[in-house]
Amino acid sequence: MSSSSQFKQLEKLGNGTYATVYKGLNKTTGVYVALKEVKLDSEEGTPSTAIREISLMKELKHDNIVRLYDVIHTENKLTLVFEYMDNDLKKYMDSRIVGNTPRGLELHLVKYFQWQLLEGLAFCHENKILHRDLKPQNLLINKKGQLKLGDFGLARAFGIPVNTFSSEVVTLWYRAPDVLMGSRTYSTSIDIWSCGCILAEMITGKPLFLGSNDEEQLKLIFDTMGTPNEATWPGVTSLPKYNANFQQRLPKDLKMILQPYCESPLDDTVIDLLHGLLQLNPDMRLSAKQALHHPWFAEYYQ
Amino acid sequence: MNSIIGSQQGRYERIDKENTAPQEYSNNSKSTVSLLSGTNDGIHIPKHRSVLSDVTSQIENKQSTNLNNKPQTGNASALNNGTTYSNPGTNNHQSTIIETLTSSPSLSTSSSIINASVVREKHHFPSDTVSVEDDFEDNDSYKNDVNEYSPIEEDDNNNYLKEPLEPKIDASIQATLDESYKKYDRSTPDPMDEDTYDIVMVAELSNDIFAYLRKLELKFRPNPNYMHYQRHLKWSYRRILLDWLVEVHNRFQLLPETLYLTVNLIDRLLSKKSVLLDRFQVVGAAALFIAAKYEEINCPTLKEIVYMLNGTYTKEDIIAAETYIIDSLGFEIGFPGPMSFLRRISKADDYEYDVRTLAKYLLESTIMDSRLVSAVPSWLAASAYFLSKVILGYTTWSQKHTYYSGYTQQQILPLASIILDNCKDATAHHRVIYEKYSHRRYGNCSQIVARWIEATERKITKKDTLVNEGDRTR
Repeated sequence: MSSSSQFKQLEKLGNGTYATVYKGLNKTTGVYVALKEVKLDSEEGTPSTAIREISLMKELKHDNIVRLYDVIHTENKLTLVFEYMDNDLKKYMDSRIVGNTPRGLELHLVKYFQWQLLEGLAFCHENKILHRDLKPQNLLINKKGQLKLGDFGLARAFGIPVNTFSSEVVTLWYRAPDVLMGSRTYSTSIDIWSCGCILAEMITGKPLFLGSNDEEQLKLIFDTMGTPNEATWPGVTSLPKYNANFQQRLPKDLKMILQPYCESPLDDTVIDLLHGLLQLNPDMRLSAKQALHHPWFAEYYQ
Repeated sequence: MNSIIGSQQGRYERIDKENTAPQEYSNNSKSTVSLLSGTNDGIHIPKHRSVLSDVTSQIENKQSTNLNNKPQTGNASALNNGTTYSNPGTNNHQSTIIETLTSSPSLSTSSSIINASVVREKHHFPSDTVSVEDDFEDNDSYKNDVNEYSPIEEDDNNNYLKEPLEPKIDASIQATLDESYKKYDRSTPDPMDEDTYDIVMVAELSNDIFAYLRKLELKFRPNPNYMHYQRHLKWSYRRILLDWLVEVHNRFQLLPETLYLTVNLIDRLLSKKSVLLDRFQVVGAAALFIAAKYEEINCPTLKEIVYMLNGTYTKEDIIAAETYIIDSLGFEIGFPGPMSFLRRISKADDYEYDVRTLAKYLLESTIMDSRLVSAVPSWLAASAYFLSKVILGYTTWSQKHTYYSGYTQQQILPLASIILDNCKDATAHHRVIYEKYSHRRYGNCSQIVARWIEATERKITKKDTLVNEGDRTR
């Protein structure tokens, strides 16, 4: 275990779900790190988020998952020493906004990022870990174009069968419709929905479903993807927050929705992948592994 | 029950890193090896309580006579107890109880067939105990202590080391495993299998995940001999602590995963650090607190934990113990536990509910056995499941069971025998768990097992008498 004196604390990088992150310099090696500081609560001890994040990240060693180097435990705080990344996907996309107009990323970069996102996620799932908070802020990137999954504060290990978990997970805009309707028997598909939202967001430069509460979020999803029924999604009507009065919508053409925000022409394969990731019915969503074998990624796996 | 451990011993030293004698697992295992490489002298065979030991010994005598022409005295086999521990160089007949019981409900002639086919294979187990009369800084001061807390003390005399219990593996077992694997393993999910369409079964990944869990369970294995190095603790104290934890866990209605994780955290901590008696209970409470934070959606609050400790310890004590455990274990909390394995095996019987429910009781009873501290969850789950099937009258361990459990019947029998043996004197061995599972909410499982043992014991005695009479007339 390192001691905190080994690191020089530099500027603040941001606030995570339960912590503050600083840039740090390892004085002995001269290597930059990210220092995530977690205040220890005298009421409840070590937060469960920290216990889970640290124990899970120790298991996850992969090129597309940010590395946890060390943990420094002192009297009143816990410092997680992470691999330093230059930026996150959110800030990077924000930096491309011209005036008020968002701009999507170049499609070849979208593809490279999405590939890495799915690679990292597939590894999590194979190691029986759900991330449960995928969004551009939690995808860290560097100048080499690498993308890594970060912030495992909401992540958890699952058994088989997957136990029921909290439905209070995932930032609203990236939350799957089944979870929005109160399902607690979700599984790996919960992260896949977020991946679909992120893919669309990289293409257009703006979040796909920008709701301000659960109801509005569902409405926006159904406006685009169509309102589900027992025929398209067996069991949907028995979900806790299913509302028989949901406005009935037909699915729209995703290409028509995304193309106006994208400079180069979108081909049908990426739209097909999006449909695979954004299936309303969680059973029908692609797995990370399947998505990696999608024709859109042919150039990577050939 | 609360705080027995803390209050009865007036010593109040705080856990603190300077005060503990850090015992590395590697050191321990090294010494185990060197001791074992010594001699077979001074082998110490612990006595285990056993209701059926007479029966067992009779059966064993008969079998050794019949099959091996090697008479054994009743006394000797009572000591061996027909279960787990065989000394190097002697022939033992583990799993004979189960074999006999397996066949006995019908009281048909099949018993001899089963006996013949299985017993002959001699489930060899590593030598359990090697006495260490010498140079360990062991618990001399405690040797003569009377343990007033527990009626079970055989294992409290810690000055011998035992080899960890492990499933036997040899070429023929491997071949059986491979065969079942070849038959049932498929690279893609079965389209005819409902699980393939059930997202919570994660069918696409389940093979990989189970392979990974099997690796993880080895990584999270405690040192089976840690108590040898604990100056202030004994196995019987662990049982008291676990009795209390099972109660608290039940009171909070927590998940079974949380209980198994709690026990694993305690055992792994004790494998690394020595803990004072007056801190033992708060360490247990903190382990439960950590496990609940890791596993549960809604974790009990610190205030609730303090309440359960009956005011013996403060919030600060619990937080200090929590920090101590987490740091000592390097934040490695991800012990897989037996529940997923149990459910997986159950697939071989189409998730038959009763067998799995009964198995949950048998499985939970294993946490109380000091001999099983380092037995891996997949093996415990397979053995509990097998025993549950035997009790409910199903005697087959098919290739499918072998595939989904990853263990052959031969590997499971010795451990199943131990579990059964423990259930014969359930109230002494695992009173709190026995009581918990006699509740209707848990399907009265413990009573079902107790009644079955009683009935079977009667049948065996009767059969035995008949056979003896038959011998005489012949």
